[in-house]
Amino acid sequence: MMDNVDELGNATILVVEDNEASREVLARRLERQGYRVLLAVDGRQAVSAARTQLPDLILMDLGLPVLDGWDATRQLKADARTRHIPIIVLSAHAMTNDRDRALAAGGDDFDTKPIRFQALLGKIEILLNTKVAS
Amino acid sequence: MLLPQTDDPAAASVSRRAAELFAAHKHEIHTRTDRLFAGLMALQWVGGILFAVWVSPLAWSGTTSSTHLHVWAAVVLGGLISLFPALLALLRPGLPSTRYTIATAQMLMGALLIHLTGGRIETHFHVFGSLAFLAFYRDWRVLVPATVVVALDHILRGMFWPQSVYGVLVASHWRWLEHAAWVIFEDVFLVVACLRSVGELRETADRTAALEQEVRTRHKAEVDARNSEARSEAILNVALDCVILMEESGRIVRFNPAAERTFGYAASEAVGQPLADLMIPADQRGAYQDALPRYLKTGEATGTNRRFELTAIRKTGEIFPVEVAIAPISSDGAAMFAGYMRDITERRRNEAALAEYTRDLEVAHETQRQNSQQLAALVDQLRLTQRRAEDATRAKSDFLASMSHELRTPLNAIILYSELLQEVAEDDGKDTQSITDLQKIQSAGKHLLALINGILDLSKIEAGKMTLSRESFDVREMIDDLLDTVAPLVRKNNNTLTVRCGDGVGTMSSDLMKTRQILINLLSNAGKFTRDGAVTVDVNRRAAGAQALIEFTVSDTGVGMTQAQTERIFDAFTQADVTTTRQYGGTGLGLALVSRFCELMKGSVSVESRPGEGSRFTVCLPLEAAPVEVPAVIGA
Repeated sequence: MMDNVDELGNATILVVEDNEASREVLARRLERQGYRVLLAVDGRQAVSAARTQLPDLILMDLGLPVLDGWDATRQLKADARTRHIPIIVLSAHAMTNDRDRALAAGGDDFDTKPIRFQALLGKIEILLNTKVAS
Repeated sequence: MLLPQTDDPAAASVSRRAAELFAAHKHEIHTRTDRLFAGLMALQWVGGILFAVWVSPLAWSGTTSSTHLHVWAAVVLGGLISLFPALLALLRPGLPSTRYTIATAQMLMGALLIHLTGGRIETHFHVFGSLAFLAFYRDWRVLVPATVVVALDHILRGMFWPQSVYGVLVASHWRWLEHAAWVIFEDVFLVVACLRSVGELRETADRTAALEQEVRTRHKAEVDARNSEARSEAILNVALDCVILMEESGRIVRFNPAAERTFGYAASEAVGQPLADLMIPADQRGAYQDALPRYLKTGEATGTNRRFELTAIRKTGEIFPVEVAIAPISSDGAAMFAGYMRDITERRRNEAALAEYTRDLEVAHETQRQNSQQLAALVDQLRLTQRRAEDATRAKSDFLASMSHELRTPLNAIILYSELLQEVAEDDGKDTQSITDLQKIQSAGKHLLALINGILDLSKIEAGKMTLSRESFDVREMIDDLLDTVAPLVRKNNNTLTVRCGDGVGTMSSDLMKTRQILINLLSNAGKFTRDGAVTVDVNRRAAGAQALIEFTVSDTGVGMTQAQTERIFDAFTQADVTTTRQYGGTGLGLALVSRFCELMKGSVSVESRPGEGSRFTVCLPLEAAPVEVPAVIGA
């Protein structure tokens, strides 16, 4: 937490994404912005990485193998150790109820794919600032 | 009693009547006899006076004379004796007391007359005459007081004044017995005569009563017969069926009006003719004539007391069906038959018509049944087709939704990578050609994304999964807000953008995102197809009946469209022509979405355009959307 976030640029973000290309390019671009990036390819990995590494923020895809994004989010938000970590849910579904379901599972924000990167950066900064402020 | 006493009410009635007649007759005899005696009393009185005056009118005493005592006796005593019974006879005739009084008085009168004649023995015959006269009463009892009076009179006067009764100064004390014996001698005959006479009276009464009864019975029988005849006649006359009475030989004796009407013969023509000759067609006659004697012989035949049908013929020669029943008529004389016939031509016709109608009905029913089956089959087919269509729509929608998802994931990578490479190239100071190429990749990716989004929206609308939200927003603010996004697109082609939206337009309560989307699509279209021109937005409130509307008009001075192009402009993937997309870009879905959104929001969109003169799109939306949150389904 504080050791991970000396300043905003050094915050750690856990990217949970099963599509390799999407995962890699998102990681590359976040790193170019100065964030430390952790990776997970499915929900179970995401939950265990979050518990052990305690990232400052999680970008969570919904359609994941093994454990899907909704369940992973729900587990993280049910766990006292990880409850405080903000989660931005990313969905390839543009159906409106995806957003409601994601927020109901405990997500802090929601965005659809393809990602508009600049907008996503704005959301990340807002959540990290909120967290720092609190 | 002539008739034996029975419990038979008729007999009781006759004996009651006989007693009544007997009593009336006796009373009549008593009354009549009472009146006779009244007359006789008067005559005797007057006679007694005349006799007294004639025999000894005067009583001489020396030279002086006076009216003789006998004259006074005749006047006074005769009056006293006669007057009371005469009055009774006139005032209370017929009563027993009257005739007993008369009997007594009559004998007293006899005694007076005997005295007046000085006891002449011849005058005693008055007594016998009186008794005979009293017998007129036919009541032997009146002889009793009469006899007693005579006996007493003779006893007393014989004892005290024999001259008065026997005409002698001294008489034997037993002489009265001789006189009484003669009187009783007569009484015997008179009593017998009275009793026999009463017996005859009674017989007469019985006979009269029986006769009366007989007369009444005969009269009643006659009346009954007359009534029965009249009833039969009336029934025969009004009967709707032909009633024909025949003798044993088959000759007609009675032919009722219905038969006249049916067969066309007058009763006078038919009576006396054999029925078969007149009313059975020649070819059927044999069978009929065989059947009738068979019945006569055996007493039962096919037709008797049962109905059967046969063919008859009218006077006109027309042959027609009849229903027949034959019944024997019991009669004292020769055997007779009543034939009842009914013309069943009409019934046959009705039966035929009914049969035909029934057949038609069956045919109609069958046809209808077949039609229903076909209809049911058709409905099933339609349901199946509809279900298939719905399934197909759902499948398509599901397919598009999952396709959209599958497309987005690689597209996500493509766009992010092209942006990443642009950043890297810019950072590395690479040549601008590479950057431009990467921008084109990114642009193509974004176009693809717009297409995917558009298709997804359309398929959601088609599948009825597109929902409407409702919120209140200020129209002016919404326009200003969306201009931030759209104005750069419009001005890109060196166009001016004018918005005419009064402050009075106010707020609307509807789906904000879809309203925005409609206007963005129209404005970006206008900007795209106009170069060095003007794009104008007009916002006004309108009223359509009771409903308040907001009208958005987006006009441009661009390329415009032909009539044919405007007609297809709201269909998906139909820009003005195939070259348009290449020339102007765009997904080809913008106006299709505008049209579907308007429909979904119970509004409308229309276009006016001419080639080279620009286009004018008009959108009308309800100011207040219906307050529904359920998924809106667009009719296919």
